[in-house]
Amino acid sequence: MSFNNFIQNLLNGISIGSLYALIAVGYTMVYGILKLINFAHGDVFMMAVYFCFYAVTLFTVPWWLSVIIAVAGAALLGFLIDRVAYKPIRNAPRISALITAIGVSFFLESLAVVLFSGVAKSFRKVFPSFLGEMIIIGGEEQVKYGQNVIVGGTRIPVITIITIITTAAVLLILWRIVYHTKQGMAMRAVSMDIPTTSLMGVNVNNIIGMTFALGSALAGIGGILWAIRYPQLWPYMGFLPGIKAFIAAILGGIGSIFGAVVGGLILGVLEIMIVGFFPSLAGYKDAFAFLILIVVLSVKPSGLMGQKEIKKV
Amino acid sequence: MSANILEIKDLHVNYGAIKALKGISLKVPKGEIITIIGANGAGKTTTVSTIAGLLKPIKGEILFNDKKINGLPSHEINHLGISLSPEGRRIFPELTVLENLNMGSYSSKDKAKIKGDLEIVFNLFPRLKERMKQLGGTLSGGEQQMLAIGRAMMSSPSLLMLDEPSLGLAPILVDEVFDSIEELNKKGVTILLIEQNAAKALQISSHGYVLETGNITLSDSSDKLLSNSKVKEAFLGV
Ligand SMILES: Nc1ncnc2c1ncn2[C@@H]1O[C@H](COP(=O)(O)OP(=O)(O)OP(=O)(O)O)[C@@H](O)[C@H]1O
Ligand SMILES: [Mg+2]
Repeated sequence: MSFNNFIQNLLNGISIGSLYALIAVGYTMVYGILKLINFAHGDVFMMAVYFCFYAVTLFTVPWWLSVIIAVAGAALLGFLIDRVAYKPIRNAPRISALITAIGVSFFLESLAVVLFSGVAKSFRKVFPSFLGEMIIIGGEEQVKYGQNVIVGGTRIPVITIITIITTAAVLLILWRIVYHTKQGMAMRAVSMDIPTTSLMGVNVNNIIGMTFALGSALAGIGGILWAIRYPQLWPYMGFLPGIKAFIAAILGGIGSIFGAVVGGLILGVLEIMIVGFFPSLAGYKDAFAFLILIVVLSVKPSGLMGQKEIKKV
Repeated sequence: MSANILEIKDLHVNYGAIKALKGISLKVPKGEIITIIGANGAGKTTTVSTIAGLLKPIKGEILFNDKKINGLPSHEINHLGISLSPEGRRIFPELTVLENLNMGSYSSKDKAKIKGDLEIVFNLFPRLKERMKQLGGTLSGGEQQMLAIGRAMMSSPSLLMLDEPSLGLAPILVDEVFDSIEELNKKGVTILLIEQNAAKALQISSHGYVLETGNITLSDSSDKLLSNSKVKEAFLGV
């Protein structure tokens, strides 16, 4: 692999990894608080893309406004999923919550089929075309087929750069919220001890709802960036990114936000690099994440940043 | 308005099939220190947990300033002015000492008041000030106990319930904690105190209840309880 190729692959990997990280954070925050794997998370990701698509194509709002609408819609959807599906069974055994989560996921996918049809739609014309262009560094100009073209050089898709910058900014904001606001402190407290947090006068259900909304907003942002990169919408588009982000969360140590980010980046870069170095393995790209899952679960189930519980008697 | 800040009438609480409280009634007059003593498993923690809204009674009434509060969620009960320092400290292990204290004043919006309360807590337990930035889970057991009491004080409650505040503290600190409880009480905070250290609890309280396997078997002024032969034998080790 040439140096140019390596850089291209690395940036690509970081950008895909950023998307996994954005989704993984939602899994890990909800798990941290409720010890629940929110299987519907990937479907919130999908719904956000549809919100964006219809805001532009049906309601003709400007594309930047559609982003705001879609992200707010995803946050609201996440909040409602908790209120309607999970809150009523808060004190039920965990297996009930898990089954409910799978049910919510099926429900949202089926709802999307009914509302938006199962036929794939193109996201290509929804956003301005500059997002689909390439930045070319280096290379030399040549005339080919009567046109000026640049040959060689490092080619970086604009969306790759935008994805990395957006993700960094969003995670920074999340960090501020979780570690420097009162509500963020309450979120961390809830993840440690729900009854004691409520003794402090905290409305725990509101904090849980806020956590769902925040995680879903991040998944929504991830979904839109994803759809710009892979411009095809369909009701099951959230499944694979969702599962991979979940694996990234496990890899990083579920419950840890920092772990989810690290896990997402590692998974993204490894996936791209494997294909880059061993093109013959390209067909197994998606299976690779599962291999990682198996290795993590058998070698270090608590993940890279998994916390050991501090207990004092 | 009656002179009782808290009144419990015929309270029954179960854990599944286990009857933990079998119809207890008690009164906490405003401005006083009231103590509940009883053997392990008598139902003391169950009583304060139910008042704080963590458990729902199957029968009976809890009145706070003459208003029924049983059935309210615990955060609303906290907003009314009832604070509980729970059994076993329940410090947030991965929040710093300062954050733990800030959790105590979570629902207060008065910044100046929060600052003042923080000063009071730090004066009471200077150790906490030294360790402000340390994670709660890394404090020693005794330091965690100070933090739990300080945290409960931070919501400036009108009724403060302390479930075994002296547990795990060195004798000199036990005295300090009891002093601070009296001091808080002088500032107008009504206190419901649960203690294994019955002698000390009865010395600072005005009235005591003896709880035995879910029933109140004795209720008298603390002075009388201190000289009661049954209490002496069972709790004072005399
Ligand atoms: N979560 C629970 N599930 C079942 N039974 C419980 C539970 N908590 C308490 N109990 C039972 O209820 C009874 C009262 O317990 P409680 O904790 O109120 O006692 P206590 O007076 O605080 O005792 P101690 O002095 O040991 O703290 C005990 O018999 C106890 O075993
Ligand atoms: Mg107890």
